[in-house]
Amino acid sequence: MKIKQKNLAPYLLLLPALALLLVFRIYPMISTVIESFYTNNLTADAREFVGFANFTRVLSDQIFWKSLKVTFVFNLINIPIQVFLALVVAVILNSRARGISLFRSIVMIPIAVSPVVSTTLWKTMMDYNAGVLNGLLALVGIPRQEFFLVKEQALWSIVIVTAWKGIPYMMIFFLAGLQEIPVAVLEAAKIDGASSWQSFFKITLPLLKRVFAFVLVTDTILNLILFAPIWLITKGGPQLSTNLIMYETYRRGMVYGDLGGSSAMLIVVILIVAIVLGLQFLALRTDD
Amino acid sequence: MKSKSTKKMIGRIFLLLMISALVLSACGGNENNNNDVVAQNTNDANNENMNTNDAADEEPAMPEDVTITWLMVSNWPVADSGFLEEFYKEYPHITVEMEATTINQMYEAIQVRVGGGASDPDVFLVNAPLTTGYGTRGLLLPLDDVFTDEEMANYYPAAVEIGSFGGEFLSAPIHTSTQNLYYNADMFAAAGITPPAQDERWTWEQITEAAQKLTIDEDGDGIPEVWGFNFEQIELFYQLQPLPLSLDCCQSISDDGLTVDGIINSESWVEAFSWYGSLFNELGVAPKGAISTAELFRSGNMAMMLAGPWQVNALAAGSADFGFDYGISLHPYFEDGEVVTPTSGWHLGVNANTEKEEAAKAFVHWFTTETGGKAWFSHVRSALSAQQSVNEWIGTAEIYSEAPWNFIQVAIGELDSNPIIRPPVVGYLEYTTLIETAFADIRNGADAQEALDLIALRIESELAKYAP
Repeated sequence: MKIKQKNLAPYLLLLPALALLLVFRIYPMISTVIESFYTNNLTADAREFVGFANFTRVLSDQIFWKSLKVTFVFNLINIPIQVFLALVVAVILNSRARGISLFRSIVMIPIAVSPVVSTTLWKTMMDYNAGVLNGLLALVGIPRQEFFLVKEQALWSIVIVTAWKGIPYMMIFFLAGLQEIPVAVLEAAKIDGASSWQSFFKITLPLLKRVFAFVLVTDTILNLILFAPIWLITKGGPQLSTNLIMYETYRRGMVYGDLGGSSAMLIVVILIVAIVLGLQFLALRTDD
Repeated sequence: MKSKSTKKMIGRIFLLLMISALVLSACGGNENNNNDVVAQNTNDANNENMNTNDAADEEPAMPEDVTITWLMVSNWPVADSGFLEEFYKEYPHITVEMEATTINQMYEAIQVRVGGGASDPDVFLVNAPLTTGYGTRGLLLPLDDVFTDEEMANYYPAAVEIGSFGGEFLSAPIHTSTQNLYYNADMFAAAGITPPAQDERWTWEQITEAAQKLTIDEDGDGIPEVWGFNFEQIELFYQLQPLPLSLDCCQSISDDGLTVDGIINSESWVEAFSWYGSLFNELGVAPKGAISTAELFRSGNMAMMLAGPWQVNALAAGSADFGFDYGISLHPYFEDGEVVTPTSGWHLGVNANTEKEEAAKAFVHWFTTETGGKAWFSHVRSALSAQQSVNEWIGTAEIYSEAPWNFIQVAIGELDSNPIIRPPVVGYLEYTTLIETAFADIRNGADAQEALDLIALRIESELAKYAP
């Protein structure tokens, strides 16, 4: 009996976390899968199993494909920018320059700000009429920019908003990776006559491959399911130019009550995310 | 041994705490989960009086104290207006707790909370054309047993029609509305333009010409200090629907409520919205971005605005401080078109899942019949009543006899000028919120044809789920 009690304790301690996981993660996932096979739940009595009808409706919907295209374009712009700049900042912060710790603290500030607050701040700063950014541009003779108001600029403006938070976040992982690289290896390369660039490309980057894989996967997930800036600023506009797939899914389900279509869309998105992540893992596979 | 038992004890306490936290978090989530409770009207004084009555056994049974939640919009000046106090005089046992939010957040709250089966809010505002959609989803409790035949006959017929679905009366009208042209008389005088009389109706072509003359950019920085004209609700479908319908009346969606292609991107719609877009772009007589038209007008930075009768409130409140004279005239129309005006307004509905049906229905009944109607127009004074008798009372009430309150009479007269309701179709929410994004895009410089073509596709994509 004593042995049994001893074995039970860890599981009992895990129970609250497991229960929360079950309620807030597993149940919604199962519920989404089930919902995707039912009608739109327009009335309480009219819920009906429809097989793959919601999937065929979603897959034949031009708006879904437009939204998916915007999401991919956004990610193709945003992820390389975020990853590249995060690496650059990490390399700078990894140096032993004077006052670097203060600079590190400043760079970390965006991480401490909630996405809703930072988005709202950027929305205010980039406002067409009263935004401080247009004020600054006016000082140097550049005309007012429309930022979130026109389709030509809106997606790029969202890239700026997300990069402000995303770069420092990703930078932390690169910084940790850089600090794990043995100094002796770099010094040995230096003694052998390698230049700084050669050391970086031949030693540092290959040793950061695992960190790269992690950062890329994390950044891809975060950006593929990006929601707050779209919801708070553009609502998918102008002219669907920022209608990212998560916002489209949310709007269909939560605003317009099309839970079946929204669930089917979400499952398609999850499958696409899984494929993208699988490809990334394959491309950045490490031997160890 | 002692140490082992202490450890065991600590372990048990920890486990108990974790389970308690889990149970508490599971139970506490739904209580008042709207963060935007900006005002809470309690009826504590009345309740206290009732609770201290120990001799209740000897008197007729008092109704039980009950608190109902009313989901409404935050820009309604109800709090501290004295309106609910009038209700409490008749129903001292009912306390109304207001949950105020923006219009779009309210739509979402209704969809998510009421659609999800929550019992609160007990009463919520219904944008009149949404009655059909809410009725289809079974979100509203029928109100046929709440009103007498006489009370129903007192409503304007259009209000009853738009508040009904499937043969049941589902949402009771608080008010109806129209739009009028408000102008800054001093600016007209300075520009040497004679403004339209109260009973005169300008064309949009006249408005355009005057707006160009009235727009003033004194410092030449490209941003006028005085704008010529704008709509109060800059991109709301309610306000803009009369533009294309003035050119080609009166269809905004197909009869079955499922298709819009060929209608909202037809020649007349493109023509109307190209003109609308030009106000903000080529002509530059109206500001882009989110700037309140009414505030610009009140601050003397806007010469004309097309606005609802609720603006009379603000004009009356600040008329002494404005430092300029203002006037009102009738809703404009296109020269080659016909007169079309917007109408209808907000209704009240009872949540089909409410656990306080009696109290909720009592509130809705009081609010939307004569006593509540008069209280509304005495304390809150917003829009026009959907009750004919209340509008007749407004016509004779002393408080409405002087400017600017007498503007209300002009607005009431406009209720007969070809008023067009918004299409009461099941997909109205999708239709209206999406088409408004196209209006915003056009205002921000998008080509009208391109924007309307795209939004037609978008709307039909959403409406497809309603296809039989």
